[in-house]
Amino acid sequence: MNGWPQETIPNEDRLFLRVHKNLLVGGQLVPGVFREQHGAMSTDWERFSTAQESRARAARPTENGIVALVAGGVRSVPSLRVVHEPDQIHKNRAHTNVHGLTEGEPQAKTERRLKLYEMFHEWELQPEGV
Amino acid sequence: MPGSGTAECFDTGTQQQGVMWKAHRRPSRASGEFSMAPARHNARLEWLGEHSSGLGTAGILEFAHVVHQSRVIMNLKYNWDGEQATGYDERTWARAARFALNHANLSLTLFGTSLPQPKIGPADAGSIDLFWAGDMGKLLINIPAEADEPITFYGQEARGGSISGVIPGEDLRADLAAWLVKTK
Repeated sequence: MNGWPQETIPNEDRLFLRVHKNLLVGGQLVPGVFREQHGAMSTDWERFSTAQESRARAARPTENGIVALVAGGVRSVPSLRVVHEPDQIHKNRAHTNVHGLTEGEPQAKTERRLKLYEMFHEWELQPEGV
Repeated sequence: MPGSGTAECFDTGTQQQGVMWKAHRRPSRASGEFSMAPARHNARLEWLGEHSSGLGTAGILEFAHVVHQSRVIMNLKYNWDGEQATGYDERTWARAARFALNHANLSLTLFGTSLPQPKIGPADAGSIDLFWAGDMGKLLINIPAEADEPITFYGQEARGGSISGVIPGEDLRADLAAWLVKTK
């Protein structure tokens, strides 16, 4: 049971997505950066985390950059749901999952990833050496 | 482009339905044109030899370079990010490479021009993306890690149109090649 309450994230708020530099092509962001890990796309809500703090939570922080997603933009993609899910174990109140990326017909995932890329394809923080 | 004194060739061979690539160099012809005849013709890339001259040849060679360079994806093994990420299998890359190259050849045959160069990169769950982004539109094709699952695609034109679907196996899709030529 989490000690922090689950809150509703406003559409205008940003979510920080960690992106490992190995996912880049020629040093550039591509739709492949949008992926589920352990059943959802994990992000951090800016209300409780800075981009720097979000990057520091990576297993190898210097290899990761941050892309800022806007909650309302994510929700505009059919089937995607933004859910604040504080992580008590890792003491991360900002933790937020995006669910639905892989649901439904197989081509739907490809469509959702390209739509996310159309909206979010610039760095908030770049990985080192990129 | 390769150096002026040599021509770069792709030597291909099949192994368990995969494609093995070896880039090597050999002296160029007196004309200075690239020789693209593979040393062995037992794979699906005979077209590299069939189109050794004529419209689109340079584009095909550059396209093949991009595909070849994407082999680095296979260096990403399990836990490449320190967070238990899935690794990338050679068979998935080979399927992606064949699909891309066969469509470049199809485009050359049908339209007299190669496809624009794709960005080929790792995607979720061990799958591989082929991605084209031009002023007129974007096309994303995903090659799944599971060989029996279909390839999927989604394209978005700048003026608002879109295409989406699945491709069983490695079927050739002239409509996708045409879409890429039209939007490049």
